Amino acid sequence: MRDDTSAGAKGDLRIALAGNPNAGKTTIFNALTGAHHKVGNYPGVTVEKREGSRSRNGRRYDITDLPGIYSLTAYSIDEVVTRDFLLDHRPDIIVDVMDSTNLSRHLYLCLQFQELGIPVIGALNMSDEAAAKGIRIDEKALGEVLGIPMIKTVGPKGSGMDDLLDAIDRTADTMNGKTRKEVHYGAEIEEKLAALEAAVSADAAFIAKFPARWLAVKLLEKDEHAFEKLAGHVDGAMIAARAKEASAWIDGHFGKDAEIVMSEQRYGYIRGAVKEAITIEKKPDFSLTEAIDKVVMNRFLALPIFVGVLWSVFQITFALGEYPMAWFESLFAWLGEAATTIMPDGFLRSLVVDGIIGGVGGVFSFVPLIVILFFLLSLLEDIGYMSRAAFATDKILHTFGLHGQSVFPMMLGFGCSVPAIMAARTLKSPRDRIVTILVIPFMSCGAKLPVHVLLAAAFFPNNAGNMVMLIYAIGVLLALGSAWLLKKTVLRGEATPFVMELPPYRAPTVRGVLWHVWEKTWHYIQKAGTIILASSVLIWAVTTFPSYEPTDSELASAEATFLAGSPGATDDEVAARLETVTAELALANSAAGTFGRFIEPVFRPLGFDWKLGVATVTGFAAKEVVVSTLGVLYSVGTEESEESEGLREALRNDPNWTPLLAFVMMLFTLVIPPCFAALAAIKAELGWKWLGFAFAFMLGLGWALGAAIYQIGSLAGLA
Amino acid sequence: MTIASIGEGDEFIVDSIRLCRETGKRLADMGFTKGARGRIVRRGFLGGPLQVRLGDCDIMIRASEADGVTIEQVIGAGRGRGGRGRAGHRGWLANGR
Repeated sequence: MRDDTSAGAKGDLRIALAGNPNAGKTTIFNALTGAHHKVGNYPGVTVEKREGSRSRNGRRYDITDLPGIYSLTAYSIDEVVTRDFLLDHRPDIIVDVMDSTNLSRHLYLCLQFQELGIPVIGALNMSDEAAAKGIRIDEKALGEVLGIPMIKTVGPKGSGMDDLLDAIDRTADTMNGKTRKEVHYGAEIEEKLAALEAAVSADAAFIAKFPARWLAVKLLEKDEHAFEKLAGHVDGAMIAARAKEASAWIDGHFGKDAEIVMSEQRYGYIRGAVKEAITIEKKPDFSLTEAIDKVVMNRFLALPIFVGVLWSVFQITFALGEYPMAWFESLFAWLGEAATTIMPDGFLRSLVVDGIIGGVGGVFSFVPLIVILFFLLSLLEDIGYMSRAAFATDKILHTFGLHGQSVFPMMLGFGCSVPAIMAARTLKSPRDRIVTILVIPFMSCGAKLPVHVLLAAAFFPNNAGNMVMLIYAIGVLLALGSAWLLKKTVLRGEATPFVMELPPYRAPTVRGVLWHVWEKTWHYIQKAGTIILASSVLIWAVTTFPSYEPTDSELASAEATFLAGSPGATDDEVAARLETVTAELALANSAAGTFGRFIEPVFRPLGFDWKLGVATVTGFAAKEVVVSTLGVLYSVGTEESEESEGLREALRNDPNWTPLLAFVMMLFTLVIPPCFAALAAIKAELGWKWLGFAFAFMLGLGWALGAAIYQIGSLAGLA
Repeated sequence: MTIASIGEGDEFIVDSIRLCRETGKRLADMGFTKGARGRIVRRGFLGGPLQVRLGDCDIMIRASEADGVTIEQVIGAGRGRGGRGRAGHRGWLANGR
């Protein structure tokens, strides 16, 4: 892709790639830059930033891919990011990628770019689809009417890229900035604009930063960010007052808000241009999208179909994931054995085998599941199904203060909270995003499942499956209920509108889907590789130190008890028994054990003894660790705890355990704060303040629910 | 009359937007401006969102927001569902300000 260049010969160009969502911006970006791009974040926000470059004929083009937006107002993070990037970095040229089948609305954004005073080039993308639909676009005429060069492109095929670069060159080489056209808002508004523009232009240093025309338009639109920018102007206060007066006049004169008048004028201008340059030859009498939507978005079928799709995704994920998961598990088991053989006995070996390989391995075995889940969900997203899912679920979710777009991240939460929390970035309103992230941990994740299964099988043998389903259902209800509560209290405010484009179905591209899968999986692996490694080591340390050697009398009494229980046991069995007793005593006397005893009074109202306290603490490394910890504490060893009847038997025989306690423990595991990796994800997305809030909220709710159910259950005679 | 009060298949011409500023501007940005022609493609279950075709583009819009888009003319084609006036819905529909 990259030619050899004598860099800068003709002046390198900084290109911003912008446009509406669903315009195929990413396909154009990939076609222009090939493999040469890197992904980062815009400073301070979690919006992804993609940069790439291309060289041609001795010129280098540095291309930044901006988030897809509908307008240059500042209502969403994406809009603010795009706008600040364009204003602060002032790229040489904006390439606006537009959907040719839906030009009016895409031109609306294009005109706003033009007002920024940066040369704009329109890429009329998906021109093949438009042609197939009988939409004939005279791009030359359109370009002349609007004063913006227009180039037809087809992103996935990479066609039109040379024309696009030619147009960029032509524009760059003839830049004089004087002859550009602009939207005409009608005589009355233009008069107000001219006065504001003149006032703004009085400060030369200021208009070097902000284009006067753009600022005047935004001031009339009562844009708060534009008023904030005025603070840097010498006559800021005067201009602000005049702008308010002018927009109030427009409000009164047109009988509606000035900003809506401005939108209408823009659309009127576009209608004129479209009339001259676009002809629609025939209306296609059959649309595949419409035919599919007749069923998929049917009033009564939409929700059942959504549930069915979701169910299939999980079935396929677990069915296919089983095999690679087993390979990963044996790989890590082999690694553990290898390390055991190679290294001398001691704390270092214990750290490597039990701490690092055991901890990280346990979590890494989820990678295949996650890859498959993400593949299927990315496929649904790229096809266009996720918009339909939002349509189907918005009514329910909105009732509880969530948004139709919350559905995708929440579904991911059944797999793993970490990518789910990151997927909440698609929510444009900060409050919706916060509330979605805060309730995601209630969607019972894959690692909590072994805990539910163990306890349900031990104490509800006849209804184990139903008990697990009940816990999942309680999780969903808690997510909805907490969202409702949060929206009524700390996250109060006006409902975010649900106004979304419904894109037609599209065949997914292999490259696109794989890219999405890679992106999401990579986030997970990074987390597993760092946070989970660190927390595994930490948990290993608090469960190992201070080290404890059982006394001879302790061993003798354990041996006596064992022999009394099973007379005629072989020496090997006795030795194995003593080993598990040693492990139990070591854990009981470790820092974690001491801590468990220390906090026991706090957990008393839930019926918990210190062992459950310890298991809860170790569960912060990863929730499935709760099971192996209980295995150690009940002297059945870690290996047997999941599969065999051993741990279930041991729990049933312990006088402290009752079905009531088991249910409280399942509920408690579900509700309390998630593992360190998920907490780190919350911190990364929302900061310390919200992390603290989430932690306190979940711990408080988990404790209160657990205590209430245990106390009421005990009074009712269930314990 | 608003686009929330007409039936599936009905065509309409937008008159004005009566919603709070942010939502109103958003709808105007999406093309709900005076004179724009559209059609109700379908309605969701139990007052769920509406699918509206505006020009060549399909837009999903929640019923409460759709109720803030008044229309000047209905070219009936569908099963009609008129007269479902729901003024004052949710309280924040106050005209402009």
